[in-house]
Amino acid sequence: VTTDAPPVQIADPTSNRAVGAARRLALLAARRLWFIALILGAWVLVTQAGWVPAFRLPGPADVWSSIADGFSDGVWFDAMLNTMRLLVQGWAIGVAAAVVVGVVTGEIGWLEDGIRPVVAGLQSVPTIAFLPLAIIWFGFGETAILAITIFGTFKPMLITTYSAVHQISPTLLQAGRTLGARGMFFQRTLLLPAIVPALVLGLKLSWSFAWRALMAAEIIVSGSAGLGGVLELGRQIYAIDVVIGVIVLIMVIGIVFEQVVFGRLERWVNRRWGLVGAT
Amino acid sequence: LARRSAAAGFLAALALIVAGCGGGDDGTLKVGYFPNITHGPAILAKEEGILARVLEGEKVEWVRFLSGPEAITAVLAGTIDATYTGPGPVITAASHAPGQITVLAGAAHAGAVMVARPGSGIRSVADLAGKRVAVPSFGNTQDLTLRDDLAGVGLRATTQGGTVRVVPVENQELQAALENDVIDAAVAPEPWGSRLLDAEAAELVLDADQIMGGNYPTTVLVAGADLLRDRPDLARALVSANAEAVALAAKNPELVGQRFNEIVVAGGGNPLKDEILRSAIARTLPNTSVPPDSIERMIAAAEAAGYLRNTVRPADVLP
Repeated sequence: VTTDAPPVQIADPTSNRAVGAARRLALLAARRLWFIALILGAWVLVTQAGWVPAFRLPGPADVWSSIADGFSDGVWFDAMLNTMRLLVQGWAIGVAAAVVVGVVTGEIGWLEDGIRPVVAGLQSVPTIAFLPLAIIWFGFGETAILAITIFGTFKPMLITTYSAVHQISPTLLQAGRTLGARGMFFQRTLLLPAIVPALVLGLKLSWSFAWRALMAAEIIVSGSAGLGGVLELGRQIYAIDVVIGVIVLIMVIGIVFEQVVFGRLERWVNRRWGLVGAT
Repeated sequence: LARRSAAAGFLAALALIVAGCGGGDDGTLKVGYFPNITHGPAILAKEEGILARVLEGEKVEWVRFLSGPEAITAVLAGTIDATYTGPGPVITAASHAPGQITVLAGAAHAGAVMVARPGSGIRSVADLAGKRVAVPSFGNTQDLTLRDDLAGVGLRATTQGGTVRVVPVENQELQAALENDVIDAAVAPEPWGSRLLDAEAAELVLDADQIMGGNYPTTVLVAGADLLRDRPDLARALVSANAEAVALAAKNPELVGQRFNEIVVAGGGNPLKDEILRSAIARTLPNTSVPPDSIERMIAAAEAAGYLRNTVRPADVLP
């Protein structure tokens, strides 16, 4: 049964609901922002007091103005779009490939036994170590960066898919087989839906791996049109404010995706698959 | 008790590791240089023991770099005290870290060529419209002279609203980049320009004396603020060793080639052919001067490219 009643307010002298809501909001904001405020405070203190010269650590105001400059002439916005395009492309291809390979081979013991240890071993090799190979195969440019992003996504996603396939309740599998589900039909109607909740974790994990691979590749393939290229340009001309600005921007994008996109996806899957009860 | 002593041991080990990380500043003068023909005077100052002799017993350590931004970053970070580098990175450093880098003297002029991929149809700077041109790194000397050349024929880089795509490519990657059609042209310092021409991986577009009339510094000797403040005597020694090495390089160009090849071989590489060495050396002019008008043009190019935050005056980059 769903109820709209607010939680019981303990020791709240004002019974005014609006005031209570505002207070809760302020409390929530304080809980979420106190650490950021602390970092900013320390940053201002260190730079204002002159303990670290500005060319080593510019102040928050300098970083903010370099972000504003970057966006005002459209350069950073274009770079962000380019990076996000490569990220979404690489991640989507990597996820699709990993899920297909994982579902198909996860059901056939000897295939998985052969593939899994190799992929697990590859997981311990940083994806960026393959960039020289990617450059030789795909040229010094965007295709090499995309290939690295796909590969960076594929490895964790495949491992998660294998785990998801093995976590399906044997009773469910047995029931499906008893009812005559076989082959593609079995995979489409039983296996795939059954692993979706576990795959959401893999989506989040592989997204962060895709980011890392993409950023590293963009920085190394310098002259790239993405945020990594902007960061590398900043390094080459000693504009540390630009370097920090790009890092802050990447963090903000990360927070937005974590909280908004994946948070929603997770809640939706949990509701749709009945993993949380109605509140 | 055992657990407590184990924890204490662990902390002691950590403390030792941390203490070991603090760089030991033993008074050794650390000087950067590139294994390029454009750094001929630096190579002679090192290999002929000129700097070691002038320093009269002070210790010197030479540190090899492959690009200006790396070398200047090392000076800014305090890893090295001084370095040979191009004036380009010095200009961007003067803007983003004012007062931290001081030019002590010039070392060589010209020493770079503009080349193009055979079949690219590029015969002149004007043909670069819509093409991809490699420079060693953003803001470096070849990048700035390229932008100056482009401005001379009314062209601009894509990042400045123009059509020429400037791509940073490391010198040792240039040949592969040209052969794989990743770039159409390049401004390459010596000996890389002569190597590309010799391998027929590229054709000459502008010879060394056609870039800013050949009258611009390609290598200068710079020092960090700490060295000038704490050991001005060492900075003076660097200047006098540099003058001697520049004079020797001008008088005895073959020696530059010989010492250069020795460095290459010691680093596990193959020595360059005599023809390559000869043409690379002929294009590079040892010279201690830093022509102010060339610096003004490079500052203007850096400004137009959006590399500068604080205004840079030529006086900030002149010895």
